[in-house]
Amino acid sequence: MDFLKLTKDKYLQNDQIMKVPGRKYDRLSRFLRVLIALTVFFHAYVSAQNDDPTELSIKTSGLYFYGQAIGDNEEIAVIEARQELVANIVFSSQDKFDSQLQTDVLLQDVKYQYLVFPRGNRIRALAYLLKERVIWDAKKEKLKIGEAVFAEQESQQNPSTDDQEDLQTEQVKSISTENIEFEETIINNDEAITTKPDVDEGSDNDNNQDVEQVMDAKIVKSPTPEIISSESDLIHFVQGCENVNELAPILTDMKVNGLIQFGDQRSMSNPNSYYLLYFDPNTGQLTGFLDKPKNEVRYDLINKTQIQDLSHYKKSKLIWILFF
Amino acid sequence: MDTILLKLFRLAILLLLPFNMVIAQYKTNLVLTGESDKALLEKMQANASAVLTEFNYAFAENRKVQNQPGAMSASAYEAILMMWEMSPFRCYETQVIEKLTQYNDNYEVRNIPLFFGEAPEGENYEEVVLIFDKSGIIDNMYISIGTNRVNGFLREANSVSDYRHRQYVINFVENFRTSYNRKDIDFIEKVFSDDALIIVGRVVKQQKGNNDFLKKNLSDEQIVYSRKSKAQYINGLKSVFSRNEYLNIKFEEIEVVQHGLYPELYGVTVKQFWNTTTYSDVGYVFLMIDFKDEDKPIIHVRTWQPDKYSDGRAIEQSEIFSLGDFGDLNRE
Repeated sequence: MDFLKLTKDKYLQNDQIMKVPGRKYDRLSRFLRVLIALTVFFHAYVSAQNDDPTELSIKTSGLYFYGQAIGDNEEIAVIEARQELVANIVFSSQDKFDSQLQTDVLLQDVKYQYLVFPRGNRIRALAYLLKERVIWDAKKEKLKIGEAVFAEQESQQNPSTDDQEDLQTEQVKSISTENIEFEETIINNDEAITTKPDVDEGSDNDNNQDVEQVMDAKIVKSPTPEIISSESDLIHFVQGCENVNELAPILTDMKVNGLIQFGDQRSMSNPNSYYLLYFDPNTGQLTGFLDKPKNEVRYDLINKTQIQDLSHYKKSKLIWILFF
Repeated sequence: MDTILLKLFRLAILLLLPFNMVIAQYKTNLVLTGESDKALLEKMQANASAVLTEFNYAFAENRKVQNQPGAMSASAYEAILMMWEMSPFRCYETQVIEKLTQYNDNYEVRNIPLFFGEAPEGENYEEVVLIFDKSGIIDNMYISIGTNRVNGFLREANSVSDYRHRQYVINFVENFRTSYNRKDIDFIEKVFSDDALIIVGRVVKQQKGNNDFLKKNLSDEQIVYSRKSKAQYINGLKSVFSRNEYLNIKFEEIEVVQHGLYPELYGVTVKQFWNTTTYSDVGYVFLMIDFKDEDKPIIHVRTWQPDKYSDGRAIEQSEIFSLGDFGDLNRE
């Protein structure tokens, strides 16, 4: 204690010594600021490099060129989105209104990725490409036509694990293959989602690509669902289901018809308004379907039990459902 | 004392929590990109999110949409109310991420997905455009002619000024189209010049006489055109608006041509899908629009032709009116 007092007094009495901690503080402060800036940049960069960029990161990170379009089917939407992607690449160049340049770039074998989402009774596609994969001729301030490098996506991705690579491959396949099975997509999807950092409930933006949309992005191909148009019909249908795969086309269809919204835990803003559907992330097996709470108690409509503690389902994945 | 204050604070938080959760129930969050002024961007995001969320609540609670003071102008609210009376709507997504574009002194954000409850099945989905004034307040909302059409049309721009003109054309056409959806007769009356040439075509059977050659080789239908004055057209529209509770107009296959001699003149041809409670038809609408005053474009010519004859034969491309058909009109 005396030592501290002495030290403090000594600093107070000696201007020269007083400057020393000031300089140290300045250096420390500068170092911390640089560190924070680097961390933020690194985070943004890694997010952008991630195998599974979200719509939010594609559109807001500034690291991607992207093009968005709507089509009656996936193929049309993707073709249009690709055209828009190319137009945006050209538009960012000095020759932004050079239609010949657009045509030339269009004719190149541009390797891009895309996400698809249901939009009403149509499909929305988001085609994207990392900006760093487009090479410019700085002298001519032109895109190097014929030499523009659109690297193969696999060779430039930044996978952290083999598993993630596998998931990504399947995910891309699930988007681009005509005859996909929902079973494979939703489970893989969900796995892919779990590789991202967890986000607190209710948080909105960064990292919180509405997982409802992420789910949507993979469930556009679905068998013709039964016609279910009311809350009670859906409850009845869920009670007859065993696997979440049976439900996906129904939920998608109901959303398209404006009857419901749905999403996963990260986009759950008000749990008390939602039905909660739980399923095993590995098998898709339904583990619970909880009614909206009454007096803070929910009723599991599948297992016919009252549930007070949601930790009962902590090993399960969640989809919330909101009726309009 | 501190303990009591702390308890009161905790109580306030507990009381506010359920309220916040209720507020968030139908929340739509709009994330905007593309504007460097962060404060303005955030203001526009907050205003648009508040308005979209209000749509959702009003839709769910089956009530009239309420004004959001500070988030939208009185004229925007009026336009929204008129659309609402035609059909209530809500946002289709809980989160929308779109690019903000500046044109003139305003900003616009496109591709906002809305679900129209009263529209026929399969036609519930529309994209709308939100227009912000320079202070970030929503100043208008209208139905878009569609992402792809807008993208394709802008892609054809060959200069900065052409791009800007195309933005004007799109915005005018979309606003014009939406004015029918919101039964906004005042707007329609304003945009037609007083001496506008309004032509309506209809298919009629023609007499071929007894000549066998003519019977075999001539179509037994033709389109005859009648000219209407602005007053006749507006009165007709008023009658249609009052007869029909639901009215939805859609434009497809938009084609725009700039006049060679008068660059402020544009010819716009669209395929129009007219759907009302009592009547539906499909036809080509041609508009000759004068952008001399960019803020107040004027329509000099409007024509309508059926898209096909009653035997199903499509109207020839050469039969569709275009700017060349009216190139010699005297202009003031």
